[in-house]
Amino acid sequence: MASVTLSNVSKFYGQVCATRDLSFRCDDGQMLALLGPSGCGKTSTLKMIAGIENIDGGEIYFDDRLVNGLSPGQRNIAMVFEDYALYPNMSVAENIAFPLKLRRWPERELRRRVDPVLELLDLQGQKDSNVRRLSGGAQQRVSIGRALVRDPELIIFDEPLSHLDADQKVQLRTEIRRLQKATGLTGILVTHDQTEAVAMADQVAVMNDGELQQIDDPRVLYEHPANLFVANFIGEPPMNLLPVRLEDDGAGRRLSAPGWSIGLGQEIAQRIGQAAQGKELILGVRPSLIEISDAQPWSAAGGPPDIEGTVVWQEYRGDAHVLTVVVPGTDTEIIVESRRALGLDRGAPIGLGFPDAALNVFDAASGRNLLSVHRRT
Amino acid sequence: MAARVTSKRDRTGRSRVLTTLAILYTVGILFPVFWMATLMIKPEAIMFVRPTVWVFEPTLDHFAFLLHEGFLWHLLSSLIVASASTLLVVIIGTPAAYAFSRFPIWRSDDLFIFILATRMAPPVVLLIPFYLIYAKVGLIDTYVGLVLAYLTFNLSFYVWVMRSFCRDLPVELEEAALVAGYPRWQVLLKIVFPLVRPGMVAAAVLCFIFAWNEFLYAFMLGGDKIKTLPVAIPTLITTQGVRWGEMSVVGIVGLLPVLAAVFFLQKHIVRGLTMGAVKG
Repeated sequence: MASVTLSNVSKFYGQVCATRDLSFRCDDGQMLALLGPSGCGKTSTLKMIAGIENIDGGEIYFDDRLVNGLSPGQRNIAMVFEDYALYPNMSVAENIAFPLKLRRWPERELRRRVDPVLELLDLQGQKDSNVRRLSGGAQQRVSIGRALVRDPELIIFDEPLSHLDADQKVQLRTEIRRLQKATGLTGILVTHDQTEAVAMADQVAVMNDGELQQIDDPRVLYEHPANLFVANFIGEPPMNLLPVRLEDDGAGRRLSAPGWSIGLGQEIAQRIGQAAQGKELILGVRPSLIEISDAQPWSAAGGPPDIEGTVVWQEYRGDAHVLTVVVPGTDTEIIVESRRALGLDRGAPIGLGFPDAALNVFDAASGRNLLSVHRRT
Repeated sequence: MAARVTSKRDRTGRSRVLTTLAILYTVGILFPVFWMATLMIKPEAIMFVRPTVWVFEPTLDHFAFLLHEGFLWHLLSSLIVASASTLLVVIIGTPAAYAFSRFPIWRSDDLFIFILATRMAPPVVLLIPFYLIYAKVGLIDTYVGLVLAYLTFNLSFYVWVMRSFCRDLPVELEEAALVAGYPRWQVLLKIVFPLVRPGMVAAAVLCFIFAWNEFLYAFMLGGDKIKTLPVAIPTLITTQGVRWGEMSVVGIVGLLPVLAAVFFLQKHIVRGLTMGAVKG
């Protein structure tokens, strides 16, 4: 197993730029997810790492070995594909053994390598069946077996779960993650599904328009997105993004919009800095991090809330209640997620509290998060 | 319950009618072949007497005549020309079709239409140029000449069919093998060709049948030293009369390779013709 480092990697298809100056690192034994909307360059990135596509600029290293000029075979990697890419003319065992056949090993040696893989993936029962007869999940397991059998430096997963049914998806997701941890393999996962990325990866790299937006562990990505794109892309329901301005009312700094404003703590006000003064800003708050008070009068809940609003819509999502709250007299709409049932009807008043730790303040012009904890690229 | 029983009876009744119709149709289609087969072994004298004689002593006279006239050579010529041109089509056409489906070739769509266009003109139009060129370079009445001529027709057809077959093959299969360390030529041999084989077989059989049946080019560009069966048949229309019995023999013999090919390769052909329609 090896670490993978990309340094200023660029790729062009004619005039179209697939990736621009892409740099990131996936440590040995880690799973890195490349996440982004379709056409963001994640598949091109993956094919460049695999050596299927040429690189137009920059370097790719496995550990400290430059692999730019190496063919896919020389890189010693394995791939798991979206539509499995199993050879339909071969049985399960033959498919798994195929990468080893090249080495012209005797049959006995082949079996010695293939059998443990079959066992690991619970495929012994089907080893002689035609791969077309298997369910999607089983087919993908065969494909993972084919990747594992040759002890690759790196396994690349290209949307491995996209074509599976919901139950098989969750099952295989866990299985892949457990295998990856147990065998200590380095993995790069390409996906457009954020749940998948967050559940399976140690680090998530969000890409858009061929550029890296942010690479961080899933939690940081979720709570402190580096820019508006990531804020929008990650999270369901999406982050509340409210246009505000920074004001100073003498008592302290406030983020204010027509009809409402919230006060900022000392530390956070400092971090936003002078630069933000007078600029158009966007306040970002995750629906799940907003504090809700439904007890009236507000004094019972420890002082007035940051914002007083009215519930206009309520949605039950099984594990949470999602409320749409409007600030009266404005067109500000805030989505709030609550774990407990609130029993609030339409039109009921509600108090919202925005703790400082939940705040993200973006520069509307550049989209950058002025409160980014750190920015690693 | 009762209603269901009647409807079931209706259905079997209808299927019986349909089966009968299908049988009648088949008999209608096959009767000329059967008639030809009887003429093959019918003595000259009773061939056209009325009423038709159904029971007779079979004769091998017609076969003897054909052997004496050197028809075995014509049969061999037909086999050589059709097989050689089909083989070349497969060897040249498969890589071409694969390249068209996979690689970013400069103006590949235009080039492809150009290849297809060679098939658009009626064969007669190209016959005169072919003849003039062949006369200049000395290819008239040679195997090479005929094989080349059929190659030009069949190749465009074959490349056209095979390109879509190669396109339907997911590129990930090849990528998986490349990543596993196989060089490209081995990927072609071990993955691509086995998987497009149904298409190759279906297209090749059609090419073979075309070359086997072709008359015009075989007549104009060959016809003296090299006579394929379709060209040889008219020589049986002689000044002494039409040799029906011999013609029937040649007709039946000419049918056999095609029948055999379709029969043995039927599985591939059906899969080939329907592949791409249903995604596996």
